[in-house]
Amino acid sequence: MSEQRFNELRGEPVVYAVHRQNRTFLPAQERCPLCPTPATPGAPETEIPVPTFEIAVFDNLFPAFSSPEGAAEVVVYTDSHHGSFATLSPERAQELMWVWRHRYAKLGARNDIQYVLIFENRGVEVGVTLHHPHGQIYGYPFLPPVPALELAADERLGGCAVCALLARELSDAERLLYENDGVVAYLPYAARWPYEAHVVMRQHRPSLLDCSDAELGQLAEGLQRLTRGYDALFARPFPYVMVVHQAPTDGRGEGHLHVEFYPPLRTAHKLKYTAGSELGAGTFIGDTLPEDSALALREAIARAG
Amino acid sequence: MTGMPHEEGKQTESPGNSGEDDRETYGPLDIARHRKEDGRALILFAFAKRKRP
Repeated sequence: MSEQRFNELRGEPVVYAVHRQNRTFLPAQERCPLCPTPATPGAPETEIPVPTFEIAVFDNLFPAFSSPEGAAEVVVYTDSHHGSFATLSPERAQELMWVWRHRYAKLGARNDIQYVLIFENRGVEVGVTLHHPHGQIYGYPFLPPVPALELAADERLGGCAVCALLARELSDAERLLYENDGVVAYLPYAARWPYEAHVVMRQHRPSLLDCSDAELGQLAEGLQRLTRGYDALFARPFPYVMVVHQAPTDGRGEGHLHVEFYPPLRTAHKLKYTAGSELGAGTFIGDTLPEDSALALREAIARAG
Repeated sequence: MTGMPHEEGKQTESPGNSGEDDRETYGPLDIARHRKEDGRALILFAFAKRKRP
């Protein structure tokens, strides 16, 4: 069971999940807990005790949150140990959007969950502990600071902040990365990370529950085009944190479904660190302008197809 | 606000007992719920569209 404390000076909750200290750390493929269990008699059972599957979701063995005070789930994208979100078939990526939507609905309906966060940490640079393609879902028993800031932005701008920012990006155009009928991907005007990108629903959709089947497919396509472009940018697997932002499930505020990527690389082999100014003052200092990064990333997306 | 989960009414998921399946469909998904021996939930999703001729 985790312990939650409130940091008065920062005005934010901090969660201690000390049992996570001993979680599985970068196992070899033959010991991967996210692979299917071979049909061979006597084969050791993994977390998924079937020989094949498409997408699996299970309660995290080392949860940061657990019922009756939240949830922590693992979402395994494929039974193949290799590959990434970018290399999933378009059909599997679309299926994943529906799985996200299902889990958002089910977890968000619980009384003990106020916010559902769907995310993926990709690469050891952002602390991944299992290489098998997967993401996670946290059901928070409180509204975390970042979605609270987004609701505050809605209030400050007098309407949906994401809608306003999308309109600005479409008007400026120089930071656009990719568009289809359902989504627009851009590198934000005031990005905090060199290659930060937002994939935003073109229409105002508070959550995955508000999207049509076609829009879910277009969202999957936009996310895959971006992640393939990331890998093409420096011709290497590109680490990132991918986070789905949508409406809180406690009825506070509305939100606008979009997916934010926080990649730590600033060059092929150099990381952007959160250091003195970022951690001590809360102010990000950038080494590159978003417009220049957007140009390079846009070309990489076009190259990768 | 449209589509908020809380508007559908608070629900409880009910996976079957250990080893038992609890099946449902959701949009294009076929869903099979299981309960692991230690009590944790395991849900397997398949894209039903794929099975259609």
